[in-house]
Amino acid sequence: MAHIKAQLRDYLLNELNLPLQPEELQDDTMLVSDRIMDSISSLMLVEYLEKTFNISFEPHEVTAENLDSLNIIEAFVNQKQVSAKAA
Amino acid sequence: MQRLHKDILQQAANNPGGVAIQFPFEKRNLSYGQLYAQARGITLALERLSLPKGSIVALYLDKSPEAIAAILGILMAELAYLPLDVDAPDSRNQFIIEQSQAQVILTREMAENPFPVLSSPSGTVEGLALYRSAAEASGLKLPEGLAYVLYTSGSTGVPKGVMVTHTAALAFVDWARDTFVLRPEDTLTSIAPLHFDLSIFDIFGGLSAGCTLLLLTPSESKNPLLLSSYIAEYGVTTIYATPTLLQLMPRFGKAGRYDHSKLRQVLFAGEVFPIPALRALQEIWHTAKFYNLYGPTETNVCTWHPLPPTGTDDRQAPYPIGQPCPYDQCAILQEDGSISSELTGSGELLVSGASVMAGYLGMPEQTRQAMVEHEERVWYKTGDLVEVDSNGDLLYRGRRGRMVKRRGYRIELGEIEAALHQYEAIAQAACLALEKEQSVSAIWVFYVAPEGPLPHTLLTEFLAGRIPEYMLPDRFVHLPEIPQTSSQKTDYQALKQLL
Repeated sequence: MAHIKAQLRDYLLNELNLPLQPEELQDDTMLVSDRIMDSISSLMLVEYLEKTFNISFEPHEVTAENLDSLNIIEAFVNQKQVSAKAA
Repeated sequence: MQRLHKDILQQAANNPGGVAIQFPFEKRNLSYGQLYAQARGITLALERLSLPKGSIVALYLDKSPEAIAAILGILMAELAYLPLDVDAPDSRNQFIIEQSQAQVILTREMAENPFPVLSSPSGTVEGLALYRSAAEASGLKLPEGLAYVLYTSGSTGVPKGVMVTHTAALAFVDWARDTFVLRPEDTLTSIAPLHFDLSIFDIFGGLSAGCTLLLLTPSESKNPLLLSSYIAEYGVTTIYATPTLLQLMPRFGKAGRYDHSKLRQVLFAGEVFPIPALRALQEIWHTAKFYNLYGPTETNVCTWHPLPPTGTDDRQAPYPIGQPCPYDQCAILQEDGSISSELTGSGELLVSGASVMAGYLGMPEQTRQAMVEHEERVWYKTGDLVEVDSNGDLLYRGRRGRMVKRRGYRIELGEIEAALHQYEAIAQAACLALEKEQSVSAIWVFYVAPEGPLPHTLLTEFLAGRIPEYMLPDRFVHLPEIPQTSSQKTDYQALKQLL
């Protein structure tokens, strides 16, 4: 599922314009904990994930724990897609 | 003297089973009877310390039902509360504890003592630890009837403690409770942190009317989708928040999924509400009434403006801050230096009256500079520029000086610069706020570092150790030199061209 990360990387750098050089954005770069992504950018990211990957966030899921790094976001998206299929 | 908490005690006596606080974060609630019992326990523990009346007790507590009980307990013990921002850097809180000469600090019972100034806890009560401060109370002049102290950003790099008495706080609280017709059947959000002045309405307006307070943590308060679901689940009737948060609701709140029909009023304050964003909000909450409240921490709310019913006007410019509240008077310091207490013309807004602060704690010189005497009254100089429109309403026209507002918080850009100048690798720094429709959209830093550009994360981490999170800049731009004016001052106009 490398393409999720590639898409995400492109969105974070080019749409959200996070204050990072491309080489600084690693799979485990802590976006929220290291204050690279503020709360409004997080909300825009949620909106983007919902549209792009056809998932829906529950209110309590909009948290740093689910959005903190490319690895974490990818895992969360995968898990949402699996549970959507199972439902 | 009337006490700020008087009617809350009355509510606890009349209706001990009524729900005082809902705390969804821990899925629990507190009745008025339980709130009173907890507060009473804290009062007794404080009374055993035999502090002089009006002494300051600092709160170092997450937003929680216990924090509200602590506030009530402190006031019942005839002491004043000082809410610290637990998310602020330790160095800032340490400064505040020392500068305020707080005699006691209330925290969660915990293994580690967060501040070197404190000795070991002198007792525990209701899950809280009581620390006696090592600081000697000396030389600080506290006003009679002090209820609380709120610290705000200061231009010289140090925060200032705004002292508010019971009488001053009640002027606003009693008016607000009547004006917004708060009743026991109302549920109010408590969005603002306790160190922010919007919390005074929530805690004291809400609880003194017997309402239920929906207490939200800082992270919940940043999540419009969660807020949207809570409004439905808890039947929220009244919201008081900054436009920064409210304007996220139409886009991110998925309001269509939730029943918000009980919401009857929306109060906003702290900054300008841009019209397109306000219209979008009115569209999703079309049956609610909207009110624009205005006032710096130093005066609490001092003017207000009820918006016309949704859909009945097509105003394009932001709504006025309106008319003075009945307990205060406003005047305008005109461009030519004259003061007109008739509301005409334009200039800096001055406020005098019952709700005005007693001064900055331990800063008599700054207090004196913030006030002006006219017609045998003392007026607080707000630093806000206003203009009177053809209806006689006050229009907000921006700030005098280098203070800006973000998320309703006041930020002195000078305070950020002062923090940056502590960074060894930075030779020079200047801060600018990028403003859209009179509200800050981003804070930019321009800096000179002889060794070359520094990573964003490094700079942010450094600043996060010195200034609160809401002050953290969004962008850092490395320059070979900072442009200067002919008088060798930072040329902010030239820097603006770089934004």
